Amino acid sequence: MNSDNKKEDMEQPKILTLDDDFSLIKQFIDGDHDSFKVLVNRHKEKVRNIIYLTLMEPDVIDDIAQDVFITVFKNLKHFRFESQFTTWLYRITVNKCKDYLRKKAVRKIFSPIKDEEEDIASFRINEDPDIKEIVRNAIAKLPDKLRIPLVLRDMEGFSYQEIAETLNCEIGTVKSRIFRAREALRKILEPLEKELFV
Amino acid sequence: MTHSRYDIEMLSAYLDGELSQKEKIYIEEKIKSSLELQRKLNELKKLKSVTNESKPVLEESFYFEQRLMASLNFSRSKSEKIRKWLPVFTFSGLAAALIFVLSINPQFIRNIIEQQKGNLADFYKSNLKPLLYAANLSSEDIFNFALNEELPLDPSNSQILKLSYDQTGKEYFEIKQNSEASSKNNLNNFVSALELSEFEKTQMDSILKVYSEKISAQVLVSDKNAIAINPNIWNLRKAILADIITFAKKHGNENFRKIAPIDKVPLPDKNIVWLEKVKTQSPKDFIFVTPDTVFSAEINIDFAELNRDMIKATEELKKIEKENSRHKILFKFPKDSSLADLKENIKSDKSFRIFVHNNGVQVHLEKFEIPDLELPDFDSIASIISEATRNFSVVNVGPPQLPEVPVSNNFRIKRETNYFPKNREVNVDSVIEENNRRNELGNKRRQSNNNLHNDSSSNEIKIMVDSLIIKQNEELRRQIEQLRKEIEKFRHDMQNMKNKEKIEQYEEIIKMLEDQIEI
Repeated sequence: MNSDNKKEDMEQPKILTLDDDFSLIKQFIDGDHDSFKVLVNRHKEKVRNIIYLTLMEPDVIDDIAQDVFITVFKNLKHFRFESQFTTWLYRITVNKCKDYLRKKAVRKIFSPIKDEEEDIASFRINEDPDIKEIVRNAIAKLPDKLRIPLVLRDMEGFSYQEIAETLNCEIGTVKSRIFRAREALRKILEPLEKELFV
Repeated sequence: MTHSRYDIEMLSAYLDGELSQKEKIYIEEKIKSSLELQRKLNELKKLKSVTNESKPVLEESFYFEQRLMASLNFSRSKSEKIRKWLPVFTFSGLAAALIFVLSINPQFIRNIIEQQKGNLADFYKSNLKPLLYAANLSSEDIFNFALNEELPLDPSNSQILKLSYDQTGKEYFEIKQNSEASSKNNLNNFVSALELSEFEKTQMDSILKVYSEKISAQVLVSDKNAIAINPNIWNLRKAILADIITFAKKHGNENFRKIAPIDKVPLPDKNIVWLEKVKTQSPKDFIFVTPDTVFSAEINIDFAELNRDMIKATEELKKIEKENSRHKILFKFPKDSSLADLKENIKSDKSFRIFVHNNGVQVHLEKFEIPDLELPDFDSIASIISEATRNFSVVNVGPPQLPEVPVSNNFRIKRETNYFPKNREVNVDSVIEENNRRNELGNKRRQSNNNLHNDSSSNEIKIMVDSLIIKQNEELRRQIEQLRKEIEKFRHDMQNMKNKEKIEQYEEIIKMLEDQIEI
C-alpha cells in the first residue's frame, strides 16, 4: 500500500515552482540558450496580458512584449536570485509600458489637435450594448497610476504585495490607488448604473 | 450617517482580502452597524466583478518566439559588429578628440613636453658632482686645457671634453674618446723653458690650482651618464690662458720671447687677474648632455658650500688614490640611446645642433648665448706654446738611456717618459724652427704619428720617424736642385731660339712636312 502511494508520488507531474524559473536561468547563464525559449514560452501570455490591460491598445502588445523579452535576455546574466523571476519580469513589463505611454504623451504634444474622445457619460449605447466593452473603455479613461494597480488586482489577480513590488511602491499606496480607481470607475459608469449594477 | 474616507478605503481592501486580522474585525463591526457601508460594500463587489468579467481575452500570438529569436540574433550580430569596429571607433574618436583639444589649445602637447622635460631635467640633476670627483684635475690638465681646449673627464684621460669654435665663430663642444696619447709634461717643459725659480713655479702652480677648482664647478657629472657644462667655461679657459701668458711674460721675459713672438702679445700694462673678471659672470643655466637628449636647465649652486665640499672632495680623493680605486665615470652613448639614433646634422632642439659620431657627441650652441666678456684672445699664441712645449723632449733629448729590457713577447721597452736632460741650456730657437718645419709636413704624417702615439713606446718610434723624414727631405732637396738646373738650361735654350735660329728651324720643319706630304 505504502509502496503504491510512493509510486503515485513519483508519477505525479512535476509542479512548476519558483526553482524552475531559477534553474532555467542558471542553465541560460551556463550557456544553454534553449532554456530562455522555455522561459519565454512560460511567461509570454502573462506579459502580453499585462501590456494589454495597462495600455488597452491591442496593436502594440506584441512589439512591447518582444522588447520586454529582449531586455530580459540582455540582463538575465545579471539576475541576482533575490526575488522571484516573475516580479522582475513584470516590473520590466510595466516599465516598458510606462515608457510607451511617456513617448505617446510627448508625441501627442506635437500632433495636430483632435476632437476629444466622447465622454463615457455621453456614451451611446448600441442596440446591443456590450457591457464588457463599456467597462474596458471606462477603465481606459482612468489615469495610468490608478488604472495599472486596478487591472493588476481585479483582472490579473495580483496581491497588493505583488503589485507594490511590480510598481516599486508601498503597499499603502497600492491600497489607496486601488480604492481611488474604483471610486473613479464608479463615477464614470454612474450613467449606466442600472444596466451594470442592478 | 456618512462614513469617513478611511472606512471606505478599508472597505475596498476588505473586499480584496488584504486587511490584517485586527482591521478585519474593526471593519466587520462597522459594516454590521451601518447600512450605508453595507450598500457601499455591495456596490464595490459588483464593480469588482464587472471589472473582472471585462478582462479581454487576448488572442494567442503565433510565431512570438521565432520573431523574438530573430530579433535577438540580429541585435547580437549588431553588437558583435559594434564590438568588431569598436577599436576603430575608439581610435578615431581619440584622434578627433586630440585634434579638437589641439585646435582649442595648441600649447597642449608643448606643455606636456615641457613637463616631461622638467621631469627629465630633475632626474639628471640629481647626483651631480663637480668634475674634480671624476677626473681629479691636476695643474697639468688645467695647463693643457688652456692651451688645447681639452679637458679630461676621467683620471685615465680616455675621455675628454673639447671646446671649440666653428667656421662662423660660434662655440661648440665635444665629448669624445681621447685618440691622442696624453702628454703629461707640457707644464713641466714650459716652466723649465722659462727657467722659473722654485718660488715662481709654486706661484704658477697655485694659479692653476685655483682654476682647477673653478673649472670643476663649471663641469658637473652625474652617475646617470650625464654631464652638465656651464657655458662660462669658454671664458674661464680664455682667462686661464691670459693668466698663464701674463705670468710667463712677467717672470720668464726673455725666455718667453723665444717661445712666442712677444710683439704679437697685446698684454695690458696693468697687472689684471683675469679670473676676477669671469667670477662676476656665472650663468645658472647649464647645458646637459645625456644619452637621451641635450638640453639646458638651471642649477643653483651655493659656491661657498661647493668650495667646502671641494676641499673635502680633494681630501677624499687623496685617500681614494691611496687605496688605488679611483672614480671612473665614462660617458657612453649606447646604441639604443635616442642621441645615437640621430643621424648627423639633425636639429634636435632650436638651441643646440647635435652631431653624433663614433667617438662621441658634438654639440653646437646655435642660439645659446655665452656671456660676452672682454678677455684677450691668445689662441694663436696658445698653439705656438703648445707645439713648443710638446717638442721639447723630442728635439733636445740626447741618446736615451735605456734601462734593461724585460723579456716579453711584446718586446716593449720601458722608458722614462719624464726624461729631461740635466743640461738646462735649452735652445728655444731650434724648437721654433723644428716646429715650423713640422707644420710644413702636413696632415698625412700627423695622422700616422697619432696612430703610433697610442703605444707606450711612442717616443722611440717618434725619433725613428723623424730621422726618416729628415732623410726623405734631403733626397727631395737634391731632386729639386737637379730640376732647378734643368730649368735653367732649358730657359737658356729658349732664349737662343728666340733669335734667327727660330726662323730657320721653322723653315726646316715646313720643308720636312712638305717632303712627307709628297711621299
